[in-house]
This record gives sequence, C-alpha cells and structure tokens, in this order.
Amino acid sequence: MKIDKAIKQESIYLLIGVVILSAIMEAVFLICGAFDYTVILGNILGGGIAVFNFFLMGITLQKSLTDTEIKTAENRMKMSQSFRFLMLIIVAVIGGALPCFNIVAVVIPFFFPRVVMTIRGLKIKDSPKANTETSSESEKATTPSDKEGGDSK
Amino acid sequence: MELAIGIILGCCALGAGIAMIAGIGPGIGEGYAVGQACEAIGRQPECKGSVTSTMLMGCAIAESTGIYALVIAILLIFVAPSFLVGVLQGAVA
Repeated sequence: MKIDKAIKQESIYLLIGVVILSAIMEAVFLICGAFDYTVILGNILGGGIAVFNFFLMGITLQKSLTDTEIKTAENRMKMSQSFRFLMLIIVAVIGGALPCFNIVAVVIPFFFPRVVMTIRGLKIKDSPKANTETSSESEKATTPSDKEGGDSK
Repeated sequence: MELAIGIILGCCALGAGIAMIAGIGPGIGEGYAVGQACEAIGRQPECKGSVTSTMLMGCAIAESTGIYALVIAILLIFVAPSFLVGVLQGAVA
C-alpha cells in the first residue's frame, strides 16, 4: 500500500515537533533536578509511541477515506482507535511498571501531537498563502455556478 | 489500618476504571468525522489532500481527550495509592 504524501508530510512535521518538545521537557527535568537515564528512556518510549500512534492513525484514515460505504469507514476508524488506545495503555503500564522508565516522561509525550497540531493549525490559519488559496478556491467554486446561472438565463 | 489501605487501593482502581470510560468518546467522534470526510470526498474528489490533512489534525486533537483519561487512570493506579497510603500512615503515626 502506498502511503499518502500528506500523511508522510504531517508525520515528519510531527516527528520534528515531538523532538523539539522532548528537548524542552528534558530541559525542564534538568532544571528541576530530576534528570537521570530513566527520563531519557521514558521520553524515547513515549515520544516514539506518540509518533507511531499518529502514523497508524494516518494510515487508517487513508484506508477509511477510500471506502465507499460511510458506515464501513466509521467502523474502521472506531476499531483502529480502540486498538491504538489499547497500545497506549500497554505502553503507559510498561512505563509505570518497569523501573528503567520514568512514568511522567513516558506519559507527557502522549500530549505532544496535540500541541504540535494546534500550533500547525494556527500557522496554517495565519499564513497569507493559505488565506489566498482559500479565497481562490472559493472564487473557483462560485464562478462556474455563476456562469451556469448566466448561461441558463 | 489494613482495611483503610484496602479501601484506598480499591477506590483508586475503581476511579481508574471510571476514568477510562472517557476513552469511548474519541472513537465515536473520530468515526463520525471520518464518515463525514468520506462523504465530502465523494462530493468533491479533488479536495482529498486538504481533507486528509485537516482530518489528521482534527483526529490528533480529538484523541487527546482519551489520553487525558488514560493519564488520570495511570496516576490513580501508579502514583495515588503510594501517596495516599503514605498520608494515612503519617496521620496514624
């Protein structure tokens, strides 16, 4: 199966964001004086799983969007979400049970995709390119119908 | 004392289980959103790229609601019992 270009792009963007936020988180641990190897291992586990979870969600989304039946797409996404959530639970339990992982450093990176995507959404919304694209799309959408309306008259 | 510790552990486990009910919501929401996105792509197939990007962002944000519940449950299982038992033992001593 060929992975969609948009999913690859978003996953790479997310990976970069997670790396940056992980560095900030480790800096905070360092400042608090709670930094040791368990924080690094926990961060690698949590951050890796967060990106992998997002990537799996993207693949499921790509499959679901090719479905012709809406109900099948809905069920596929629900099923995928259940399994991915189970994966997160297992990872969090592993992070809490094994002493080589810091539980806080495992769990906090699960929120990084939300932070990265919120920032990305704001950037897209604020960028003038996106605004011009949106306005040109709306113009394209309105023009043919106007023409059709004019022809019919 | 043992009874009190047992009640604390039981309540923590019960609370964690109740917190995980919130994990149902994102699945339903994402499923509905994907269904609507399918319909949108069916109507305008040329918008598939932008719909996919927007859906990815929306799903990532929707999913964090379930992760909040997961974090609460994990805290109730791994952090709260030892903390509360420590508080209880301190109060008794």
